[in-house]
Amino acid sequence: MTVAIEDQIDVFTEQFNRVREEIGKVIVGAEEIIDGTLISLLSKGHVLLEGIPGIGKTKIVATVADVLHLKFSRIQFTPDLMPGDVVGSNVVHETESGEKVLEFQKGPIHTNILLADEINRATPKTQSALLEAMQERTVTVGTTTHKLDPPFFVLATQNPLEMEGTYPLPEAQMDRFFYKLRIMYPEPEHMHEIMDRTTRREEPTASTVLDRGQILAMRDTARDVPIARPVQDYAIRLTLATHPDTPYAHPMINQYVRFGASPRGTQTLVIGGKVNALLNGRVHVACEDIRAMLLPALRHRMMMNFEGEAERIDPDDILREIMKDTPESVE
Amino acid sequence: MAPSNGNSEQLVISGILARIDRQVRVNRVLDHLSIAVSLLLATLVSLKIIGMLVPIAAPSPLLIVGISTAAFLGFLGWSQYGAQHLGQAAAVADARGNLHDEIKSAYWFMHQEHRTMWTDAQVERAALTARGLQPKGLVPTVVPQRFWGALGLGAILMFLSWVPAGPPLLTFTRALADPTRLTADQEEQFEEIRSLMEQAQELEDEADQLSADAQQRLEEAMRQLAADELSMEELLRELREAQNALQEGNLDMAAMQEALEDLAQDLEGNTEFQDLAEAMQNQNLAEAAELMRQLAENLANMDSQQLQEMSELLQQAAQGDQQSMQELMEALQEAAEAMSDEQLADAQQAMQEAADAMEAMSQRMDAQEMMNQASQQMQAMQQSMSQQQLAQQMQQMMSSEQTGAESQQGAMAMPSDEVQKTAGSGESGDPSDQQGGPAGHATSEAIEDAEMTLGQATTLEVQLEMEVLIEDEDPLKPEEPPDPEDIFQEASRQETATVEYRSVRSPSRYAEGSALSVEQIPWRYRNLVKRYFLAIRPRENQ
Repeated sequence: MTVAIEDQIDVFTEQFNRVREEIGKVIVGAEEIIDGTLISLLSKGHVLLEGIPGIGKTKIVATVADVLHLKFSRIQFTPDLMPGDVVGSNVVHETESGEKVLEFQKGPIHTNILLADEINRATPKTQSALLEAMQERTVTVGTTTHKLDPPFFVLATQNPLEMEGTYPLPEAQMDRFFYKLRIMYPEPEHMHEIMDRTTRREEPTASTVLDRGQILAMRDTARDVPIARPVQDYAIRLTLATHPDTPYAHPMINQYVRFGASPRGTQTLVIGGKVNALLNGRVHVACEDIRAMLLPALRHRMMMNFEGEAERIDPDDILREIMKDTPESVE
Repeated sequence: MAPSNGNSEQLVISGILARIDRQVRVNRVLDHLSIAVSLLLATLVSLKIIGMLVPIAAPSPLLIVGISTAAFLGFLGWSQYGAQHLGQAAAVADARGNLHDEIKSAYWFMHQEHRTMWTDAQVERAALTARGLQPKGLVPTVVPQRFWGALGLGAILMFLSWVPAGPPLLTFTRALADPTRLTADQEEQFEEIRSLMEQAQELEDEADQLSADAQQRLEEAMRQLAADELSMEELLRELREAQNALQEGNLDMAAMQEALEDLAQDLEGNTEFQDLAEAMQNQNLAEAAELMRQLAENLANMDSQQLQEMSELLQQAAQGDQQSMQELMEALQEAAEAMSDEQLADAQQAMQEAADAMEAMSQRMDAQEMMNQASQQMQAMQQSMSQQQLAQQMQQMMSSEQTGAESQQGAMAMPSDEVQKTAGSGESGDPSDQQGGPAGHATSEAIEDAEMTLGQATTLEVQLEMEVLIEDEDPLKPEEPPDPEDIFQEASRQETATVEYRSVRSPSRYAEGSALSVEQIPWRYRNLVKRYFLAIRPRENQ
C-alpha cells in the first residue's frame, strides 16, 4: 500500500520534472513562472500572467502547450472582440436535403489550453464570456450549454504599464484566476542565454512529453494528498489576516486594504500546497507548502483602498508581512 | 484503498511525543521557577533597600517567602493539571527537528476516524522519522537565562543582609507639606498633656478612669494622625472630646469645695477647731488632715465640757448632706458620737479616719488640678492647630486669588497696577478689603478664639448692583446698512432701473449652473473618495 503511494509520488515528480526540463529547453530562467503555471494546471486552476511587453509571456504559454499533448487556442483580445468570437455562435447551415438549420460553430474557447493574450484589452462584456467557462467549465450559447473537455486551462496575459484603452479585469474575474504570476525582466546571464538561443538559424523547440490522460491522473494524485487540520488552520488564518477590521487582520491590512481574499484564496493555498508537497516528496501538506503558495495565490485577491493605491503599496509586501507575523500554530 | 492498522506506528509516535512533552514541561517549570524566584528576590531586595532608606513597616520576609511559595505551587499545580499536550509537543518536534510538519500532521491523522492510504502512508513515514528522534536532543533541559539574574539578586540580598541595621537614611520630607502633621510646639504640648494625665492617674484612683479614657482617646488620635488616617478637623474633634472627658470631674470638685466651705463655717465657732476650719476654708486639705490628727492626739488632754462642745460642733457639721465627701462626714459623725460618750479611743480612731478622708480628698483635688492643667494644654493645642489650619486656608486663598488676578489680567488686559493692588490686599489679610469674603475670617481675634466666625453675607442687592447694565444708547453706534432688497425695490418704484427685467438673472440660476458642473468621479472610486473626505474632515471635538 505504501509502496503504491511512493510510486505515485515518484511518477508525479518525474513527469513534472520532465515537463519542466522540456520547457526549460526553450524558456530561459522564469522557473517560478513555469512551476506556477504547471501547478495551476495540475490544480485545475487558471493563470494570469502579468509583465511588461517582450519578456516572453506568450512564448511561455505556447511552449507549455507544445510540451503537453493538448489542444491549444489563442485569442488576441482587442476592444472589438465580441463574446461570440470567444465562445462560438449558432450559424445557419444548409443540409444535403436543402433544409436550413442552426448549427453551433465552436469558438476558440473549446480547447484544452487557451491563451487569452492581453485580456484587459477586451471589453468587460467579452471578458465576462470567460467567466462561466473558467469556473464551470461549460459554455452556454442561447439555451444550450456545451461542456468543455478537461483539462481546460486558461492562461491570460496582461500588460501592467499600458492602461490607455484597457478595461481592468473586475474583481470577480480576477478571483477566478488560481494564480497571478509576475514575469520579471531576465537577469543579465539569462539574457546572454536568450540571445544565444534565439539569434541562430534554428531556434530550440520543445517536444511533447505529457498527454491528456497523464495530466488528469496527476491532477487526481494531487487531490489525494491529505492536509492536517493544524496546517489547514494556518492557511485559513493567513487568508483571514488579509481581511481588514477582523480579529485576524494584520495592521498593514487595516491601513491599506479594502477587501481581503475570498475562500477561493484558501482553496488555492491548500490545493497548490498539495502539489507543492508532492513535488517535495511529501505525502502531507506542510506549512512551508502553504507559504510557498501565498504570494501568487493571494496577491490578486486583495483590493487596495484609496490609501493603498495612492501610496502604490505592493500586495506582495503586505503578504510577506502577514507571512512573517502569522504563527504556524496557535497555543 | 483500505487503511492499514498502523497501531505500532501510532505507539511509536505517541511515545516519542510523550517524552518530548515531558521535556517541554520540565523546561517550562524551570522557566516559571526562575521567574518566580527572580520576582521574589527582587521584592525582598527592594524591601530591604527601601527599609534602609526610609522608615517603613514592611511585612516579614518569611511571610513573603511563604506566600510566594504557596502561590507558585498553586500555579504549578494549575499549569500541570490536565491531559498531555501532545499536539504541542508534535509542533515542537517539527520545529526543532525541521520536519516540515510531519509529526504534527501524523498526530492529527492518527486521531481521525476516516483514514486513507495517503494518511496511513504519512503516519508510517512519520513513525519512521520519530524512531530516529532523540527527545533530549530535540528539547534539551535548559537552565533559563533568568536563573542567572535570580542568582545575582540572591547575591545582592545576601550582601544587604550583612550591612548593619541602622536608622533610615532618609526622613519623610512630606511632614513639612502635610497640613495634618503636628509642629514641634504641638508635639511638646502633647507630651506635657500625657505627663499630666499620668500624674493624675498616679495621684488618685478615681481620676484614673476619666484620665485613662481621655488618654486612650488621645493616644488613638495620635496613632491615626501618624498613619495619615486622621484629618485636622477630626483631630480637633478628638481633642475637644478628650478635653470634655477630663473636665467631667470639675463638677464634683466644685460641690466638694462648697461643702468644705460649709464645714469650715460650722467648725470655726470653736477655738480647738479654729486652725482646722481655716485650713478647710483655704482648701488646704493636707494641712487640715494634719491638724485633725493633732487634735485627735490632744483629746486626752481635754475635759468633758470641751469634748461635749466639740461633739456638738462635729455633730452639727456632720449633719450636712454632702455626697461628695460622705466618708468624711461619716467619720466626723462617729467622732462626735464617741466624744459625746467620752470614749476617747473611738473618737481618736474616728478622727484619724476623718483625716485619712481629707487626705484622699486632697489627692483627688490635686489629680483634678492636674487634669485641668492637661485640659488647658489641650485647649492651647487646639488653638494652635486651629491657627495653623486657618493660616493654611488663608495662604491657599491668597494664592488662588493671585492666580485669578493674573489670569484676569491676561484675559481682560487689566492694568497691572490694579492687579497688584488686588493681590496685595489678599496678602495683607485685611478683611475690610474683602467684604464678607472668606479671607475676612482670618482676623487675629478669630485665630485666638479658634473658631470660624462668618462674615456678613453678600446680599442679593449687591450682586444685582454689580450686574446692572447701563442701556444708554451709544452715540457712536454705526447705523445698520440698508437692505439690498429695499434698494432694488426703491429703484423699481422710482422707475429708474436701467437693466431689462429679462436680463436680470435669478440667483438660483447660478446655483443650478454650479450644481450641474460638478466634477465626475468614476463610480468605482466614489466610495473611496467619500471615505477619504470623511477621514480628513475636521472632528467635532477639535
